[in-house]
Amino acid sequence: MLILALVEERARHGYEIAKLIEQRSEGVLQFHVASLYPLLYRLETRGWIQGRWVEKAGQRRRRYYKLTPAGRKVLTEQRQTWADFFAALDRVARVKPVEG
Amino acid sequence: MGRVMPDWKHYVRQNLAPLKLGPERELEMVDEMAQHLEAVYEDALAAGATEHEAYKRAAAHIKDWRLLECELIRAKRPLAHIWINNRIATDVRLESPNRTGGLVMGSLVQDLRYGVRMLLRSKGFTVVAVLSLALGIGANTAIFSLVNAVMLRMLPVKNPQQLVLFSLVGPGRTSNNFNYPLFEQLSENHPSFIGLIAANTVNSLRMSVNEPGTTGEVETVQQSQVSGNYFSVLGVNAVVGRVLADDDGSVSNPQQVAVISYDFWKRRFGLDPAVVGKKITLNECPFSIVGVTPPGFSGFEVGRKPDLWWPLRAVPLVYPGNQSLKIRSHWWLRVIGRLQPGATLAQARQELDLIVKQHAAQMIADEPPGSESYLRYLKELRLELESGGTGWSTLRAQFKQPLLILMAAVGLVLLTACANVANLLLARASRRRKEIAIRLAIGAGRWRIIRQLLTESILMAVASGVLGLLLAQWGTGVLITYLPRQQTAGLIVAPDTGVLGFTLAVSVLTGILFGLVPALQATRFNLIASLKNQTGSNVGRSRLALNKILVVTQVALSLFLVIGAGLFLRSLQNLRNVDTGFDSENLVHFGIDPGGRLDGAQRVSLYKETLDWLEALPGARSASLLSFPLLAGGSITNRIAVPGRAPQPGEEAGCHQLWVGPRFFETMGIPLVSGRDFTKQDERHDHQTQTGGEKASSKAAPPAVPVLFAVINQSMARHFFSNEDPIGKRFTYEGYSTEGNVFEVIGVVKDAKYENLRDPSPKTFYVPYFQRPNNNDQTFQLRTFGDLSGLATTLERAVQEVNPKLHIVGLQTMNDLVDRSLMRERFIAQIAGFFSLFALLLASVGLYGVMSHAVANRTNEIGIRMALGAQRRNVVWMVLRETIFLVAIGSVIGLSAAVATTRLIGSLLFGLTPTDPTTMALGALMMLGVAATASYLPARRASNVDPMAALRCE
Repeated sequence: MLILALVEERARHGYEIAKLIEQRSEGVLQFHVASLYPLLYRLETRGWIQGRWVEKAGQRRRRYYKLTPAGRKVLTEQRQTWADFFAALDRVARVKPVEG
Repeated sequence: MGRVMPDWKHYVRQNLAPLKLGPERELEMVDEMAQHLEAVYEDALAAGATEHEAYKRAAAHIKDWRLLECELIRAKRPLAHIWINNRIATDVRLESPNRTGGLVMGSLVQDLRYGVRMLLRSKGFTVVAVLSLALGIGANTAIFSLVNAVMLRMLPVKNPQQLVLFSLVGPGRTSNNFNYPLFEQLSENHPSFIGLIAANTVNSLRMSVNEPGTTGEVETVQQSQVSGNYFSVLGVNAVVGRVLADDDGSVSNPQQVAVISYDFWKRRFGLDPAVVGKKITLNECPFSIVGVTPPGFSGFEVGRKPDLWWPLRAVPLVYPGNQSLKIRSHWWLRVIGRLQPGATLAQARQELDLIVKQHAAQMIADEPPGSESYLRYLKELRLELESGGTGWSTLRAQFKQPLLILMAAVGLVLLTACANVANLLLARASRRRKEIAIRLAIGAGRWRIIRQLLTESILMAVASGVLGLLLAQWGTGVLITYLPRQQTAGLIVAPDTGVLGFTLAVSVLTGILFGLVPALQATRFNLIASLKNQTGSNVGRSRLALNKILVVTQVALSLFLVIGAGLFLRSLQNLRNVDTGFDSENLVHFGIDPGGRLDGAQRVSLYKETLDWLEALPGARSASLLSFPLLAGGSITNRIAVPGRAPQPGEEAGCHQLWVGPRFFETMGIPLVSGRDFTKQDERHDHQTQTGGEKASSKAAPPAVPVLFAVINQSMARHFFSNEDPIGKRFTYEGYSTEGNVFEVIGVVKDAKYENLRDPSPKTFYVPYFQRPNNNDQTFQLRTFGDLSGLATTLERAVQEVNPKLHIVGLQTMNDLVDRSLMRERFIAQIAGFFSLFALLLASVGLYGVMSHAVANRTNEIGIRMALGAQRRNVVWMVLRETIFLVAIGSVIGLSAAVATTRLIGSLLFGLTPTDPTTMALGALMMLGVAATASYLPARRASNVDPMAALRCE
């Protein structure tokens, strides 16, 4: 879900995704190459994201990933699930995830 | 700048094996990952890292290339699952509110499935853990099966909880034996009871079925004599025909009847319904079968399997001359009552106790008993009642304490096994820390993860329980062979709901016991540090401390068990080495079934003839006979007086009296200390004096006072003739000197044991059987020149030469007989010994594991020490020292526990005190030896650490 959320805003390349996850989780979550790319390829195989080689001026060509309509549906579902879950958790245990 | 950028593309391509996903796709992947690594490298440089550091940081992104290959290939498969994603989804999947029950069940199933997967993932760990737990649980189940069968199982009768077992309690003796007159008195008036029943112990008897056209072959059956209301009070009905009735065999209904068991009906009569009305002969007395008991019913005596029951009233007909229904000194019946609804035990006891006291007082008044202790017993006799729903068994008196001790011992073994598995789990938890950290980070609650880990533990424990149940099946079979065979023929040890429930409860408890602490430990750590793959140093230390506590526990438990088993083994050894007073080599012992009724004269000539035949056998050295089976606890005690000697007040004047055949001392190998052995003249001499030559009969009172010759043992000589030579001295039965029965001492023999091996030899005198023969069965002893093989057939042939109706029964070598009398001791010593060794093994495995782990954790430190000049033996010593420290703590605890508790088993020991220092020292030494061996390997591994390699590890 993390990755789906990150590529929702705009298409990003792998290194960018990894850095974003690390930054936004304040270092708690880290993805190494060895775990990130298999995951990306897997999401791509499922048709939730789509990768494309893009060449930008002054930069080398990079592979950017963007959310597909199927991926968007999954993301919405998962968001709802998590929201329900946290709401339930809060009702039961008065735990609210810290708003980032 | 002069910096050379590493070629990351080349780096990736070199390390990644071809994926067979198509060259173009593969190239893209390599390109993409290389770019990523390059970006990491550049960022690191930009942040001020050196080239080497930056390179290391980028390279750290891909550690396991093989794993990456697999992941990449799998990522391309459409149906592949992302493991972590999957877990998150299942951990937090929410059901709609109306299906909350489904949530719990669903996640439980998930937990179980995941648990199975995790257990299968680390097979080595699972196998070791499950095996050691299965042995522990199996041992507990096996012993519990026996405890259940012998002590707990309710009888298959109506409302067994209403049954009450009667016992007589006096100083130094509690017994369930009643005489028939007392039972009759109790039966007359019992307001609190619906009914009282009595039964004799199950024993064997000759029976033949009288069918037209057959010869009525004689067979031996197991049978019990019971009161006529036996079945009606127990609430047992016949499946065919009827059960016994109150008036069977009485004047109003003189026909003798018997009821047979379902098994016997099946085995002997092939379930033929026409069995009712069949005529049988019991010991030459005609009976007819009136009914069959339901399957599963085998009477009140647990463990025995009687084929038939017949009324007590018929005893004098089946055993002519038997006075058991009249005499009060024959204690042979178990009495059981069924309480009225609402009646209490205390009230019932009070009502009947008075009858018992009156009966005992009457006995003392009519016929003063032979021994001082018996007199005291009668004087203070009282009735006790206990719940009797579980029946009665001699096994219980003999094996209750050993079984409970073993139950406790195997409980401790299971604890040791738990400690062991907990240790393994701790080690595994440290390997799974990352997985747990990720799940915690992603939002799984701590309890959720503890639940998952506990599910795994309990799953493992239940698997072990199933395996343990199978082991227990086999184990119970082995255990039973340690118990007397006759008394366990009807023992039902197949697991019932009680046993299954016990095993399940033990398994689940075990799972929680060994799983909870590691689970708590595994979920309590520094999340970030774990995710970053660092070793949280705090965590490591507390985990290790826990490890060490577990090992100390194991050492303490196993040492405690080893000492306990050691005490039993040494007791057994002491009993084996006890001086029996006779020579048990090349000696056999047996009885003869005369195959029919004998009168006194027939018996005497039969025995004389048999002895002649036996002595004429090739290889036979000498043969003799004795009035009791050896080492079976039987005896006859008579109070003795020596003319001219004033008895001391309170003196125990009872002496054992044994009737022996000619050459008895020679046959048994009992040395003569002084005087002479019996001769043939001694027998003749008596014949002349007593009866003037006609038929020998013990009832005929001789006109002159005959002097019977006797040989006494050293204990008796010391007691009655302490300062003088006993040869030629006379003694009498106390108070009977004027009526005859005067004995003259002709010899003194060494003390020997007849009743059991534990007690010191009692004061004993021997008189020749043929001097005054009685009509009781005697046992034979035969000493050979070695080689006992084939003796059974030779003997059988020999007695059939005397009379074809004769049969040899109970043939045993003396050595076997001695062994058999130590059955209980061997049972407890060997079983406890086996399990204590198993505990020791578990402790050593635990020790090995902890020390290996400690050494692995300290590789660095050891490397530094060695680099600074520490010698190998210093390193070995360093590791061993730690082991010794742990073992020392454990040993002190184990020894203290042993010293504090072994007095509880004092009554089962022989020839040593419960705190026997030798056993304690040997146990501790053994523990230390095993511990040193277990930690030597890790110590050696530590000493082989290459300082350079160790330092490079950082």
